[in-house]
Amino acid sequence: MRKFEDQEVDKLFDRWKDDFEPDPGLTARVRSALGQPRGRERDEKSLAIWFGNAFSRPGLAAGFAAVFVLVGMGLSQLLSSSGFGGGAQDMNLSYRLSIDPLYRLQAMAGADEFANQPIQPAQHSPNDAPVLLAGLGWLQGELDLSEPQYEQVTALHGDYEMAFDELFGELLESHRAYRAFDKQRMNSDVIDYFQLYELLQTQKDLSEKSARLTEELLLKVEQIIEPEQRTRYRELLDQVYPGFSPSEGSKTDA
Amino acid sequence: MRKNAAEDHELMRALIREDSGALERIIEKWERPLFSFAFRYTQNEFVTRDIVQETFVRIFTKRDSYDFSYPLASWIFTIAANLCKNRARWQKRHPEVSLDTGLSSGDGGEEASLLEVVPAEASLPAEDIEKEEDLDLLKRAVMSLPHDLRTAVLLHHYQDLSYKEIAEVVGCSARGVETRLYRARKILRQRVQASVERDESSQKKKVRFETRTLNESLGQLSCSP
Repeated sequence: MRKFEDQEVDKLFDRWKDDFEPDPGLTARVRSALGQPRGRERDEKSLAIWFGNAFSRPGLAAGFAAVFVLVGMGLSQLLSSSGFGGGAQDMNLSYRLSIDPLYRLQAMAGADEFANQPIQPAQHSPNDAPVLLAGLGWLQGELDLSEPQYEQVTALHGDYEMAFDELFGELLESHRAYRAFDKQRMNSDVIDYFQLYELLQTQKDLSEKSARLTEELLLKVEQIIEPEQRTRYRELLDQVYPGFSPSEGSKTDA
Repeated sequence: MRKNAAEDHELMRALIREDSGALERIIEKWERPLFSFAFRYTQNEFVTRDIVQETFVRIFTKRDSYDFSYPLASWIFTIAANLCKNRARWQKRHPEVSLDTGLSSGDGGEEASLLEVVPAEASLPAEDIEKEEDLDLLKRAVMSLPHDLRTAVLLHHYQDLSYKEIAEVVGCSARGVETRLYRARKILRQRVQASVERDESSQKKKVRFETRTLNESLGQLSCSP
């Protein structure tokens, strides 16, 4: 019988790696959660203050105005040619990543084996690493939410956040299990159909749960906002879920 | 690196002044230690990333309340440890059928993952498999430790914090940390040992059963005409 001494426990501790990879979107998410602009935007803000002070002098103001016109013309051409201005789309994408665990899995892990999707998301592939929406200041601006509405909507999303995160974790594990099974199947003459059925059944259940939770949240948001805000909200949703409209009735809590 | 208190305090002062890039510098310096701690505490990468993010949010929002007479490491890990604890409590209150926690081994707290049912991606030599199994046993044993023991042992082993710094995080004296580390190691050793014994015992039973079945089959073969 093997005996475990303190040194053996220490050795096991030493072998326990954390597989750390720096998170490229971390700073952006933290800033977003803090409701602060990102580093570049902050610099722009402080520059604006500096220019504002400079403009209090008439001579400098005239010089700056001329430079602004020239630089502005150049920049506008540059930006239009490079297709800048996808900020709103990025926010829609982040919102969808935040409220749709299945889509998050597909965007982050490239899981394409989840065939059952009651809500059909729009097709577009993000260029950058996916960043979850950390705050709802964006939605407040888009829908012109009053302070009480904003608080309600934020609390509502907060209620679901944990459930979405849990579900995402389960989806990820299911995806990994499927991949492991698939890899083993390629190297084996025997296919365990029972195991395959269980894996697929789990994926189906999780996909349905994901869609149900998302739909629940969207419906509850619609119950908080006013009709004219609802129209705008549906426009936003339409960009991420074309033709989707929450069906009245599902009211299960997260 | 983190032992440099003057550097840490300068970073915090810059953060309090909201100097440009101060938050980024804090994140750059502390992301790895926080990830390392939260990952081993929760053993879930996604939850870990969430906790790391929230820790930095709190570092920023509570920066004015930081007491410069305490080490920054203690303050930061106190925030992270509380978030880990809250998360664990939340998961306890909202148990879900998870692929991660599917099969209970029946000795209170130590659970086998359904994923373990899925065969490993590549075959490993027997010795490596045994080492991996031992490591899994340790991970499960760590998960079953109470919050203060788990926090103390992880900070001590992986973050190289002094007893005094760990004491600030756990909320006890330096002597209390020593006691907690002793208790934690004892529990870990016992649980890993118990699991190994259980595994070896079931392995022996399996071999006995297979030998008996084989002998019976051979007996039947020799009796048949």
